[in-house]
Amino acid sequence: MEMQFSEKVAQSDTERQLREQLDHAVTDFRNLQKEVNVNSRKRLQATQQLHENEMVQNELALVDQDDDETGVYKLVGPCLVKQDIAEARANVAKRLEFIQNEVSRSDAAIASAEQKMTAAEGEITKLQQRVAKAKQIAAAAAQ
Amino acid sequence: MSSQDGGGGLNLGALSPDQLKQVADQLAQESQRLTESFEGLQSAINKYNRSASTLKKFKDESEGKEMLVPLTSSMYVRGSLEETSKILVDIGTGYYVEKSVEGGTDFCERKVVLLKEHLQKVVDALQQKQQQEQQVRTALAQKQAQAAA
Repeated sequence: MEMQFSEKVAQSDTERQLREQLDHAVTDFRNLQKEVNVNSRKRLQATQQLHENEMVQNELALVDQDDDETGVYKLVGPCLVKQDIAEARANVAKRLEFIQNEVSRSDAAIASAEQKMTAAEGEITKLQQRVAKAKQIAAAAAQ
Repeated sequence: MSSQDGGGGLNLGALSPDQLKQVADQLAQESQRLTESFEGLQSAINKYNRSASTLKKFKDESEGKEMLVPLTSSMYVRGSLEETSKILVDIGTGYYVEKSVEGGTDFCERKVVLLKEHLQKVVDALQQKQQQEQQVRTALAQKQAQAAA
């Protein structure tokens, strides 16, 4: 009699523990999902910047063909400041490199989060199965 | 029974009404986004066209011509055109390049061509999305009619 009782307690205990684990796994999964969303947004923004800078690079590449005297200016606050064409090109190239790095960083973050999501998904399914099993056993024991 | 295609390769017949509604709403959202980018592109094209036609008028103006320069939207000062051979063009990300009038016209025309290409792509994608949404909504209506019968 006493033995049965403690067994029952142990079973409901494990079921509760499993449920807690399951909740944890689901929270982890949701967090990973959020991470993917944030990084996707970052990536989109970076690619847009990439396009704009590429267009500027193309325009600056065209400058030489007009003539060497062509002035290039950069808007700094409300003022237009004269720039050296070579410097402007170097700046844009540097910025492009930076943005490309940002894109690949977001890509890597998305890939790693998605990988973790697959693992978390497996964990969730496994825990759900174990909870169901524990319930079955508990129901059988109750009868 | 019907429409196996559409809905991004999903089998529409296999989805529940709730799922169908979700897919349709998602497609509607994507259409909305595409419409926004369509409008953005259209207004950019108009802007460059306006710049190009302004340059055409500008070309005929002689140097030293009197004009009123806006200080604000409601205040002007007298000025005169000093240089008509060179203009300053915004090429993006805060960079401005000096160009001849022909160069500026060329720039605007190039941009318009580029934007129109992009616009066409958006229009195609938009039509596709709207068609898909229509298919999904039809499938949904059929499902609901079946459930009611």
